[in-house]
Amino acid sequence: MSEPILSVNDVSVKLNNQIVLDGINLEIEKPSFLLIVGPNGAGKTTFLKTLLGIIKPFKGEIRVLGLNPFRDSMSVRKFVGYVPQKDKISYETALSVGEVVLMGILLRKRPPRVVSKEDIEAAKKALSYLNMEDKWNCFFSELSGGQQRRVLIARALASDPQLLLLDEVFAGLDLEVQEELLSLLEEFRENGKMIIAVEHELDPVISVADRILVLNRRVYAYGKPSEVLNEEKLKQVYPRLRSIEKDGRRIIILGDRHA
Amino acid sequence: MLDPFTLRAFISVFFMSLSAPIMVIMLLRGALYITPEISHAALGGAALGVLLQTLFITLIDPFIIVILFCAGVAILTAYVGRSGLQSLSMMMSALLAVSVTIYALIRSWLPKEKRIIVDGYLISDILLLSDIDIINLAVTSIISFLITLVFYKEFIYICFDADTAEALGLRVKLYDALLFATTSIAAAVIVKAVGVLLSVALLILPAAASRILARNINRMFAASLMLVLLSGAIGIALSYQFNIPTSGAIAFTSTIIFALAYLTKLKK
Ligand SMILES: Nc1ncnc2c1ncn2[C@@H]1O[C@H](COP(=O)(O)OP(=O)(O)O)[C@@H](O)[C@H]1O
Ligand SMILES: [Mg+2]
Repeated sequence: MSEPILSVNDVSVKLNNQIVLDGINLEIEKPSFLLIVGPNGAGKTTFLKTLLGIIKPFKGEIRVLGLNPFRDSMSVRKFVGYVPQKDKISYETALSVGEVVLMGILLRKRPPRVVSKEDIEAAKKALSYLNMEDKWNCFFSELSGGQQRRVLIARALASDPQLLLLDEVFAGLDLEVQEELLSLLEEFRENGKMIIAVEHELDPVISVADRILVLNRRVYAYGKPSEVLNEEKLKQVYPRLRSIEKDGRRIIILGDRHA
Repeated sequence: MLDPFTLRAFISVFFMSLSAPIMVIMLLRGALYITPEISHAALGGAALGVLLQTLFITLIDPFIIVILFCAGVAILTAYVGRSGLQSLSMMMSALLAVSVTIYALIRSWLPKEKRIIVDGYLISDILLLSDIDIINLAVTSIISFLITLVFYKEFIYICFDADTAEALGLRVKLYDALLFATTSIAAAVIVKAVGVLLSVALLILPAAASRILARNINRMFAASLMLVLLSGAIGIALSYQFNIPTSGAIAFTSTIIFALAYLTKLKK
């Protein structure tokens, strides 16, 4: 592909008359794993929604896979898989695992969105990729946090996207489950897919990321993990940052909310 | 055999039950609590509708104005509510005040025989519905039921995960507007049958009880529908047995059924 995967040019977004994103620049040439970190309210979710063409910037230009997400929103959405923040999901609405994954396929079809055999096969295949196919008939809300995250990722993958947008999928999971998810994502990247993951804590996602972007309304730092994980730079965004030594690894604690 | 009044009451109960599924969807959408506001808007709509009819002797049935007015209030509330809970509650109170004020003002201007029609929306006797009323109920309740069935997937996807639905290209605002408009049609059916004051018992309680009794969405649909039918049948029987107003007896039964369902939940 000659087009860059993602090109964000001086993009600014207002919500409720408040500037939420301010002059964001970003260019990604080839498939990789980008980690975006920033405190709560930094505009991370807003940034993902802007890439999806749901929120329109008042300034700047965006190209996703060479397409304008506002003019060609339907084409962009075809290539993009999205996993929302956990708190955006209603556990009252009792869908089965199968229905959740099919949602990713059926919403890309025209109404009346009738389920075909192929759709079910595709959904099952996506689930089996995440070792969840035996949960097809279970209620989504009755799964563990880690299993739910896998189902949502399966839903995003069911339509075979080129670009995967993950909104805080590691938050609240045990370290073990996090590592499992990470190795899965590494596999997707090896298959030539682009991953953009948003987190408000750093560990352990950093180990896999090719690039890290520190966001708090504007871009505070961008680069390879080794360059960005500079305590001085991070302290601008997370004033309460401290680092500790654990199992021979340095863990940075961001001390979120007070930034 | 059933006398014609009772037969009409049963038929009306059946049409009311078709309103239950959309209320279940409203419950899952986390918006069931605005349905009493929608049903109160019917008062403003009824007063306007009757006024128009009086002034222009049109062929438009006031019931159509009721539906339009309710839908307008519902969609406006949903639209404003998007920017936060505070604006939502403010809008709800304001529109409630407007609806009731319109009702009170227009009512006082109307001649006596027209006033009765408007007041019929406040407390309606399900035994006294006219043939035209029954036809109105039939058409509107079937429309709301069909919309619920046809857009079932879209509505449920929005309930479950509106952000992803939007990310995948679903026009969430449009379907939300459709959901609220359909709810208004369904609410108008119930208001027409039992009146605004008793409508809450049949708008909210069957859906809420179905949530206690079932988890699966289709079962909630079925349960809420059955609970309206059951409330209707028992209510009609009670009203004959004890010579009490039928609409009130139906609302009372619905309340008792909800209370029983709630007790079973407490036991668990
Ligand atoms: N729909 C909205 N309307 C108005 N303001 C919003 C809306 N969504 C988010 N915001 C505000 O925009 C800012 C960024 O929010 P968000 O992108 O969700 O941050 P993050 O995902 O980094 O926690 C926050 O200050 C938030 O209050
Ligand atoms: Mg967020």
